[in-house]
Amino acid sequence: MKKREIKTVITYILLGLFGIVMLFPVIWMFFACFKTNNEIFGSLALLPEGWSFDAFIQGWKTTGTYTYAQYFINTFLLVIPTTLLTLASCSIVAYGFARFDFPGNHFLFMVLIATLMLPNAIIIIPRYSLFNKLGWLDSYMTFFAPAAVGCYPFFVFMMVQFLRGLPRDLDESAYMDGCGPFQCFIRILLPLLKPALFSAGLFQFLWTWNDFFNTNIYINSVSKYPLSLALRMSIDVTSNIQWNQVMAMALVSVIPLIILFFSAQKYFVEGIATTGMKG
Amino acid sequence: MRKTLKMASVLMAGAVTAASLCGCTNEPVSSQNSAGTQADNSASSEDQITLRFMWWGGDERNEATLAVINQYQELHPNIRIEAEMNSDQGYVDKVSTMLANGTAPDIIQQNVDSLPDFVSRGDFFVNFYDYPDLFDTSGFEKNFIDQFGTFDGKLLALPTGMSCLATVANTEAAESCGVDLTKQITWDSMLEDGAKLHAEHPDYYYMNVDTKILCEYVLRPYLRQLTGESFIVDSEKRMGFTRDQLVEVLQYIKDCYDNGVFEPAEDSATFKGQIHTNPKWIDGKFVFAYGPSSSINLLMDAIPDTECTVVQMPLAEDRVNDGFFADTPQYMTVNKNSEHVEEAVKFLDYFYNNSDAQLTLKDVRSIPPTTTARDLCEEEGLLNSTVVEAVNLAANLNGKSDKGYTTSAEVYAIQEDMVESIAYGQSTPEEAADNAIELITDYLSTVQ
Amino acid sequence: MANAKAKAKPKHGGWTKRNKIGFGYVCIWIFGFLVFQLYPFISSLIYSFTNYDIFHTPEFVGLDNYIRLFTKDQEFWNSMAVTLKYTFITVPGKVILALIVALILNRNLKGINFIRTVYYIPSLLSGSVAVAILWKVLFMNDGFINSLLGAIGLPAVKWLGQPSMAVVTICMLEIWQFGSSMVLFLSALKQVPQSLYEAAKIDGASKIRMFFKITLPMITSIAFFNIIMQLITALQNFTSAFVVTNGGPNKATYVLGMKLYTDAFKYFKMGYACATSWIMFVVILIITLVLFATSKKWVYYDN
Repeated sequence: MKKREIKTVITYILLGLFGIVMLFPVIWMFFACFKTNNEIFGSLALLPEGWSFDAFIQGWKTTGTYTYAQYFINTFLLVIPTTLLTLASCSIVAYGFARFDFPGNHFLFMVLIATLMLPNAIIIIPRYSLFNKLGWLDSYMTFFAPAAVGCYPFFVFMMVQFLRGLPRDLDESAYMDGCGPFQCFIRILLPLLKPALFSAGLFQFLWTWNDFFNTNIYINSVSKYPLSLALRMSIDVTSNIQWNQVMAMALVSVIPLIILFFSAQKYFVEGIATTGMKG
Repeated sequence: MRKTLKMASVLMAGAVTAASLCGCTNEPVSSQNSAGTQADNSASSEDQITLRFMWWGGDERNEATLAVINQYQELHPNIRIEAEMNSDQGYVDKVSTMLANGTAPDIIQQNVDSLPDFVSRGDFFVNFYDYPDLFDTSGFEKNFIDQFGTFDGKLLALPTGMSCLATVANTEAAESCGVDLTKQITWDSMLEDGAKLHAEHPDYYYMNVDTKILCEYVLRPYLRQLTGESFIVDSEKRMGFTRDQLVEVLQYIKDCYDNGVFEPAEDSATFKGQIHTNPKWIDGKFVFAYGPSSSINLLMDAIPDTECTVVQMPLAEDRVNDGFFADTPQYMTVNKNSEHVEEAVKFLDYFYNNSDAQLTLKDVRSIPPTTTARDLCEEEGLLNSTVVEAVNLAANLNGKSDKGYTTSAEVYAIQEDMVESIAYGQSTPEEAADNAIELITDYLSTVQ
Repeated sequence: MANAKAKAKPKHGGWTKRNKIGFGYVCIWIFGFLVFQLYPFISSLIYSFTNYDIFHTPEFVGLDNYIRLFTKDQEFWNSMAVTLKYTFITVPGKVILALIVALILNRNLKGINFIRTVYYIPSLLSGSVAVAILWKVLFMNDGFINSLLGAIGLPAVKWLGQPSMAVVTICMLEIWQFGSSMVLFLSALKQVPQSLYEAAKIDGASKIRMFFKITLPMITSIAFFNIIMQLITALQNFTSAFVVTNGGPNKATYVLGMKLYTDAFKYFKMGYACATSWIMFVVILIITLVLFATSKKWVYYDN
């Protein structure tokens, strides 16, 4: 019995140590916010010499016209509608796939699965020129439009799987009671779909928040920059980079994600486990 | 059967919509975009006009430019100017993307290297001569704007100053290493002195450079001094040098790296584009650094306690041409597709010709371009004497500007890759030269 | 006769009024698929045979773009080599590390959920600029990592300056974010029936033997899925190469994604970039098909 206890303790210590190694860069980033450039480079000390919040204040203000408040607002204006549109479109499409056996359903679903593997890189140029012709460049429409028409096969797939797991009796009885298909979806299935909606929503939020490749190509005006572009600009724009300010803003930009993650980790882990999404 | 047809027609309708969305012309759609911006503005106030102004620069330039914007906004409450500040890293890519897709700002600071390329690609910029009532060009010397900014008789771009490439010297480092700052540097002396310096003081390097700087400050001037011609002769679309000459200069760069004239590329790579942030420069371990006169202050501010001076650029003894020249550091252009061309031009008139603006901007873009601003700033003692000295040194040189194909993004990339493969010892000078010549020939065959 | 009739009977429910409505829902996706996926996919192929540059009407140039890529453009071969190197370091690295950590975490300890959460945090930030910047700062010549190496008596490494190390630095960033693969493995491990282990224990099998004979076969399908998805992501990498090293030094991290971006949005050689993207697509396709073809031999399917 004692031997077993010792073993458990050792396991904890090893897991803890490895956990610290894993998180070390993030921990270091936190302390770097309080350091001067001289402390950040060429020094081993983890703790800063002082605890001034100046870097956060100066970094937030930036040297430019816009403060990080604007970039945060932009990010929310981009991310929240994109996420909501994705959820609305993907859930209704998933409903169509999962509950109606119209001719071609199976074939179309195969097509949907095939598009899971379609690399973004191959469609980015024609999409860009399409958005250009539509006059959508430099606007969030470039994100809203694909989200509104269910162009995220991952989520459709995920919700179809989830809906298939729900007993058909539920909506069929509602159908018998005179509900139309749409009413039936809204009243009966949507509430049950909540866990899947949460998972999908969280991932879409996370991906759009972190996205750099697409925002970098589609968004041009600084006034519309989301955080990812603002951060990238922050290491470019000033001549003598104050790294503590950059680190502070980098940290601030990911804090919402970390909060979201801790408050909804159940859905995250479920989401990955049930659909095998990349992270 | 009818149902199938119906379904097919639904699908067809979708496909047709898709096709109609895509089958349009290839013209940039700037107007729709700016229409969107305008709608936003009109929501807040009827007469409110928003201008987007994009530039790159260091802190000092940013502050001064923002101050001028604020002055102008106070004078014209109905105008709001959105500052879009960037760094020169990736700036050209960004401008070219925005010009292509019609999302470019109203006022754009332009890179001297890439402007000719943009002008040749499309009708993007306002001709300032079309607005004689709004923009006063009398402050500029006629032959200066004829040479810089005038394309086919149209004044499409306004030079932002008078500038040049400069060699900044750290006097303390020079003294402790025994480098004579009064001596004219030649390519040979640079290699010889630099090698000796590094051998005697292994901590020190002669020259602070990166691989991009080497293209502009060594590769091309070296060749121009040798041949008297641009890297690419635009009028004839041919290279202005022979293979042997290119091999010679690449061998020279290789020797400089091998002998410790330059810091090894592995060490300097992380400071590419920002050599003033290299800790060795900050610690005073470089005797010299190359930089444009418009941002000498970046190099000087990095070592505030040390005295800096400028010396003449390297000149070979048996040169055909000086290779170096006085130039403008950047241009200002107004986007032709702007919704508010006139307001943008009016703002630039203030920017260039108003005495408050002139006093605020001082020399943040090198020596002011207009005689009025120069006189005023000199009177007030607002010009950095080192910058003035650098420009004076360059004013006596007879090199000719090589902006054009030579500095187009693609050719620049070829030069940079060539220098980089030498710096990392990946290719021999012969291999790098052959490869570059092939790529340039290929590029020249594709330009219309 | 009856047989033929049964065969002819469709599996679907025909175009009832209800099904038409259902199809209407799916039409939302069909529209999106046609406009934002199929159309770009096909026109990308068409553009790849033209000199499309966004300014002018594209002209058909036949196989020129492809011929140039394969015969003239050394940069392309460099990018291809860098991309494959990056992919073949990160994908196995990530999957194996994820598996090992999942095995360790697959036990009932107090607070194990918290530890799992902690291990997942780096993945949360994957692809973000914030982390790429952090990496750059940590791995600079006089950054923290080199200070650490110095403290334990090792020579400093030029992580970002030396071409051969720069790729490794980028790969480490990617491997660090193994969390989502780990969670996948964890859920797969949970589904391995305990009865199998108990039976093996009775037979006196060692732990290592149990791992290779029971655990590994039971999680191959998840491993397979993991590998495929990671491959597709890795072959398209852009952000870390762009922000941390900007493709350098000496093009050592100039992955295909960066070449594509530069050609398309810096030089406006969009037709040419489309050709590059199609080659990338074919490479992804080939690797995926090879994996699928061999999967019968090593992937164990439950049903």
